[in-house]
Amino acid sequence: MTRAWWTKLHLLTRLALFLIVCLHAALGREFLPQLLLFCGLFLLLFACGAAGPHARLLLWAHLVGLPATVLLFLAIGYETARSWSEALSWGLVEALRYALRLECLFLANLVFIGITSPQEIISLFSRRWIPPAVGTLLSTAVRFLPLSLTETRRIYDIQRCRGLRLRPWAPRTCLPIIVPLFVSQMCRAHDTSVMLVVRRMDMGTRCASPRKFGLVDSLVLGLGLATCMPMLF
Amino acid sequence: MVSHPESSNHPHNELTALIRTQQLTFQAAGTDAPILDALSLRIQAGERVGIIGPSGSGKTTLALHLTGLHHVALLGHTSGHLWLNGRDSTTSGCEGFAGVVLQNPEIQLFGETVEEEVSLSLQQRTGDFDREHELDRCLNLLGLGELRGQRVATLSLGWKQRLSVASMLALAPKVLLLDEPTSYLDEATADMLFDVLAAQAEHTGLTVLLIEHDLPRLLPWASRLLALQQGRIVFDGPPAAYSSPSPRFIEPAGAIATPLSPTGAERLLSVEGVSFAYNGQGAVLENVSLSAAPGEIVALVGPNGSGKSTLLNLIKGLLEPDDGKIICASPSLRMDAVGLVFQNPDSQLFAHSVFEECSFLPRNQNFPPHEITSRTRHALTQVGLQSHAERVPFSLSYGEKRRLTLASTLSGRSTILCLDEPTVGLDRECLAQVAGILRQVSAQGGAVLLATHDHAFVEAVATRVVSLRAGHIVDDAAPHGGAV
Repeated sequence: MTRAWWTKLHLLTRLALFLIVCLHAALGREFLPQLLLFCGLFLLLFACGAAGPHARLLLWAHLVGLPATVLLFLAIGYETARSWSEALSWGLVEALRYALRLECLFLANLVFIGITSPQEIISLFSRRWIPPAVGTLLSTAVRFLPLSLTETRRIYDIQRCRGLRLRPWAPRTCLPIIVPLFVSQMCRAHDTSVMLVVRRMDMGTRCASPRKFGLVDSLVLGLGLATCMPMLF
Repeated sequence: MVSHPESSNHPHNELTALIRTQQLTFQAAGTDAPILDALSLRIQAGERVGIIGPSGSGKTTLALHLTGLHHVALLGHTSGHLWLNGRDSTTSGCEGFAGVVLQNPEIQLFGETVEEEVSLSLQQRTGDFDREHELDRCLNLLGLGELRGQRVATLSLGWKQRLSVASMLALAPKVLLLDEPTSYLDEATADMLFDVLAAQAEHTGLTVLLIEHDLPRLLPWASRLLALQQGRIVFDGPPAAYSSPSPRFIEPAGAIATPLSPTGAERLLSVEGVSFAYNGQGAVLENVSLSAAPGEIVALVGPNGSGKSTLLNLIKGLLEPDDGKIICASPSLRMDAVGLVFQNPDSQLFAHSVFEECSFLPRNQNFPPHEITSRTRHALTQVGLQSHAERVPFSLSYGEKRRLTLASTLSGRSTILCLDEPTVGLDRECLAQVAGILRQVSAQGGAVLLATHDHAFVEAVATRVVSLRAGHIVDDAAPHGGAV
């Protein structure tokens, strides 16, 4: 099986590209580049296989929240201009810009998480310049992420069996998921900490070395930084 | 599994005592009664110690002390004396002295691949040794040699448990503690695990402490048995001298639960030609057909990964079959007609009282208020928790929590009750209670399906045993082998 090009990039290159995309999303002033960035990230999300059920659910939840963003900008516009027509024209444009920025940041996160395995992040924490205790703490936190997602799904299924119907406007309906999730995560944290002591990992782990920084990484990183120049100067 | 010879070490030779306790007492923070009450014992290298006792008797607390992990794993005060490997470890513990294998293998594994998992342990090990040789030895010991490149996430629970044992053996501990390690394992894997542990104790002098409820498996394996009751040792000696206080279950299945209509038209559930595969993976179930009549208690048995839990999830409606159909005779929706009880109670308890917890399902099924109350009361009475209605669910014992999860399913309108590994972690008293509840459900005209590895429980309660292997039904018979 041939590996996708993004998995051949060094982790630091991927991290740098992620930061560059975030920079564009947060500081870019032009509407068209932002729209192109959004479309590119959206396509990349599906191309790299990062659009799993959890990602899609989060994306839809985010999009469902957009009307609230528009309403907020309309209200701010009305407060400023005291005219609904001006509030509408200003509010809609600004809400669209704001939503586009937010979605770009959100998609960039999903893509980065999708193309980077927890093990790669853990390997970064086992570098010599990071104290072992800090490395172990960070890598354990990263290990928790996929386990927590699986646990959430499991608890959700259990409560569905008990007739749970989640209603986003009624936070109380989330309690049957939040409480057991908190309890199970506390138990898991306790057991994991005991296991870390047993496995003598409290003095730091030594994982396999990450891939070396190559020519492709330099080129991709150079191109990414070049796109930032007009924005910074 | 074969019966294992007595340990070659003399059990009362003080000079070789690897673990020694004197008046060891432990009191958990915020409680009055001690969990361990003045325990004195000696354990030599190479002993295979089985630790038994009802839930809450202090088995795990004692084992954590004996492995020198009490100071990191327990919150409370230890008094008396504890010497591990000749060192006073009463308050300081003794890190690096012991390996631990817990019930759930998921949280014990840290590597990406099988080989990396064992290598991580070898990297933490001190002293001179041939790393490659040790890696091969540990992998082959547990039959993992062929899987060394496989990703840990893709392994079944049985293989994960083998891997967690291999990782612990790679640390070369003096003592290995296993806390109900066979809970998720099929018979063959559990037997294999016990054989490996016995061989390690015999050849390397490893001391094995094993907490287990399954006495028929534990007794032939152990060289010494410790039975605990309310924090005190009530038996300490060779397993042959131990007499079980009462039979495991009260009465066999045939005495009460007889299928009312095993083959007739009155089927509560029909599974017809069902096939299922998880996304992008091989088929878990292929062309499975099964039916359940009122009064039947159907046990689904088979090795890890044979598709038992997946079949229950399909019957409940959490998953949809790729092919075939599942039909319930009940007029209500399948999600309501089928009740599914999961194994871990902590994954579902959330309410501030037992009554609230138990009434969650009928409330969601839109019963009128008076019926919610009556159904909840009836379900709590069925499981013997009626006097605990106002208690906070988290304050219940493990066995009581398990009965509460059962009650919170019985309070709904389900006519088919499914249970996934209902016996895990339960002592004999709790098992007898669960068996009684299942017989009651069956006698009231419900159908029960349970996925389990516990053959003794199956023989005691099931009216029918369906064996699954690699996603196919290979046998459908009465518990003692008679055809249905």
